Amino acid sequence: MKKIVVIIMFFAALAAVKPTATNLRGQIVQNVNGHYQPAANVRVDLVTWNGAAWTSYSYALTGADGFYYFSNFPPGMRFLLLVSGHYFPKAPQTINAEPPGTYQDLPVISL
Amino acid sequence: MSYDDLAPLYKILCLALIFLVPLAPAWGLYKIAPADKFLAKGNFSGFRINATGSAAIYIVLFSAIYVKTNAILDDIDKSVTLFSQVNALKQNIASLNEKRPWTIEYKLKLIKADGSQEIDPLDYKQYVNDSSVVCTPAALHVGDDSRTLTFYLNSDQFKSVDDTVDAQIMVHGHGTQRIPISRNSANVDTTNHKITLNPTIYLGTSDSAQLIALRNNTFHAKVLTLRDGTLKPPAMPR
Repeated sequence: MKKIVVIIMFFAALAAVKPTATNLRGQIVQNVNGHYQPAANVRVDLVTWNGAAWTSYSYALTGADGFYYFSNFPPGMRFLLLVSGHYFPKAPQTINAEPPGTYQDLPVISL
Repeated sequence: MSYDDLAPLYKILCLALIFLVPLAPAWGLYKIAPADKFLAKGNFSGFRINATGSAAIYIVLFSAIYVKTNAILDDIDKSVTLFSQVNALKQNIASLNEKRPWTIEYKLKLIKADGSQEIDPLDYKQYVNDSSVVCTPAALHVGDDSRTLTFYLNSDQFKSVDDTVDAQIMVHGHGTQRIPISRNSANVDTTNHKITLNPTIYLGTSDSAQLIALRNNTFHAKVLTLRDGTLKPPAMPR
């Protein structure tokens, strides 16, 4: 019986330390006469802090709805967004641990 | 030892054989019929020959082989030249093989946004085609199955990276995923310069409430503008 409990605890511990992957989601819009409209085909670079410098990790293009997505990131990573030569937000963000199938939503950026 | 080094030895062996080969039949004739009156008479290389019996046999065979000697020695020289050419060619091929591009092949698996299941096989074409997928760092070819993406990586580019190649795949409007390729991974076939990867990509879905609010002009959440951004990333403690 003890052995079974130990085995169960072992697998429970394994499940607990299993790395989760977070998906990021955001939208780029443009202000047209006071109305926000989705901005398509805008390049969004994800810039991450590697402990010594900011480096471009990957980039995405917005779809017709202005949304972009970055998949499978380890929680705890510090990041910024680079859009049209500007870094957002001013204070670096941290990737949170999100449940599978959900997103960490990023601020809407207007060009 | 290379063939080049052995060439002089082959020549010496060849010359030795020219002298030794006729000995066998001459010796045989001497043993079988020592009193045989076989006669060899004539001129050979300026010498006048007048021999009988086994000596005559030796002289006849020797002279027959001797006239071919130059051709045989020339052939040895030619083979040395050919051998070095073949070696140079082999080195060229090895060098070209080393420099040939790497093929990177992605076999995609697209999962619905909620992570519940893989999308319908017939839907792959909708997401994966030449214009909808971007692979970094190179242009790609989409296979007929709409799942297999192939692109080539310059060999120098592959060597220049330390541990991983920064590759990423982007299904336009649905998701971007960085897929580092480790040079030492089991997926890397160094013999055929081929890397096979099987990434699973969760298709992104937009925030429908946000889209509706935008459409109806009722979106009141904080929106960052370019003025809220900075031209340089913030300094970080090291």
